[in-house]
Amino acid sequence: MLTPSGALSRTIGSGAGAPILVVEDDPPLRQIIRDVLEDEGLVIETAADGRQALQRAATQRPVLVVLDMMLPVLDGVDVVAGLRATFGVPPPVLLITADGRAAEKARQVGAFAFLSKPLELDELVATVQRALESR
Amino acid sequence: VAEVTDAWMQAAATSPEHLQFLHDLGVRSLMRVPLIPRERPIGVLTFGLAASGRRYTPADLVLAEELARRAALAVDHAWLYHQLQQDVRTRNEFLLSASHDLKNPLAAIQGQAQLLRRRATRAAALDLERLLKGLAQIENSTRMMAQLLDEWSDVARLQTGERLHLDRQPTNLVALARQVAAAQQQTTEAHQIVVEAAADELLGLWDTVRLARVLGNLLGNAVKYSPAGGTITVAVGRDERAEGTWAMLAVRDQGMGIPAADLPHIFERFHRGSNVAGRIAGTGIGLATARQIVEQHGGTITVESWPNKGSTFTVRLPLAASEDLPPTTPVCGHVGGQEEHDVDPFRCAQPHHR
Repeated sequence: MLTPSGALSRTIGSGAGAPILVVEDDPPLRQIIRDVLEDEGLVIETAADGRQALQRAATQRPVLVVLDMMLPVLDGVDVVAGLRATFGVPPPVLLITADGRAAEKARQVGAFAFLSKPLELDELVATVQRALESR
Repeated sequence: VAEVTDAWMQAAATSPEHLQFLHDLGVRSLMRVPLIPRERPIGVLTFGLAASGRRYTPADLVLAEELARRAALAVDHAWLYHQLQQDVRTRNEFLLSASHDLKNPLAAIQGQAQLLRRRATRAAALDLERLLKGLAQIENSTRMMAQLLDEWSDVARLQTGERLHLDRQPTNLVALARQVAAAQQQTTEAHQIVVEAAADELLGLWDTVRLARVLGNLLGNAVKYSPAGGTITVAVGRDERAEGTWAMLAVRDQGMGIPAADLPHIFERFHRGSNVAGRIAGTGIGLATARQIVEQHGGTITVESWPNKGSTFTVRLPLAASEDLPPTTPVCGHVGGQEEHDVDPFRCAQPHHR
């Protein structure tokens, strides 16, 4: 995983300006996810709650949504439902959960993958990379 | 009562209906024995004889007393068992919730360490500023976890009836409020936390760390339970009353409020509002601990709440040095109206000092 900064974006790219939307209510964790993905040269947009996520998604049309399940205002399930309502076919969702029922919840919302907290950043980057390549 | 007479019934009846009931039963002889397990009466066992013509004797009373003693124990054991089951359930729920609370700072520590490691192994060297920022964040998260653990051990201590050992020192409540508010502001962009104080100093002999925790708790709740954002006001000032001058600190939010039915219980350990339980993460111990800390300082904590408009928590602390007081049992009730709100406010307050 010792990709020099920027190499990933040259090989896979995140589209011309279309960002990855990171939805996480914990500010330090949100910043870390933004940093690690920006280190890969990806364009990142963030949201701190479900409503903000849907607003940003509607205007930015993200290529991928990294979504924390437990959110204030609207939770992960509501966000995925909202994405479906907005886009018909919603962008792929990578689900992040803090509890032991991650797989069940990922199935429930139709996420293409899930990660448990605390996050392994190498795994996060690899999963995001896979998703963007298979687009 | 070997021989039940009309005069006895007249005297014993608590209402005309009760008297009628005694007549209808046709009781001629009667024994009443109290159920007293562990020195606390929980009820009365009544024996009555009607048509048979037999009358109770002192020997019957001895037997009845023995039966009552055993019945009292049986009822008490059933009640204790029920209590215990409930305690185990709430403890399990607390464990789930507590592990969830620990996960965010833990995730931030691990994430920050991995982020720094990834950057350090890259061709482009990790610059010093980013390194220091990352390390500062790791320290912040560990501090947050340590605070959670301190809080939980206080809770465990208080539950076993142990009192906290307050570390009283000269504390400036205004400075403390500003400091805690600034730290809380770091966690949110959707809220503006405003500290209102007439003076820059309000000094008292208080346990600084624990009061910071009380305020941190109130502010954390204000943020958490006003998910749509808004202004959170912390008002600090003096409250002059007939019985003396108090330091007063009020935290007001514009959030979802607390349902009236939950308000009398909101300071009870593990109790959470029905509008948030299962929807917003929490352990239900923050306010219970806050109350106990404030009361041990000889102060009071009260709440007013209007559904969908917000809540105001008010802490009053005696300014004169006082002895540590044991925590008291809260007495809560609803009282009526303040005109400026069209929804009836509900209060839950400790009536002493009021």
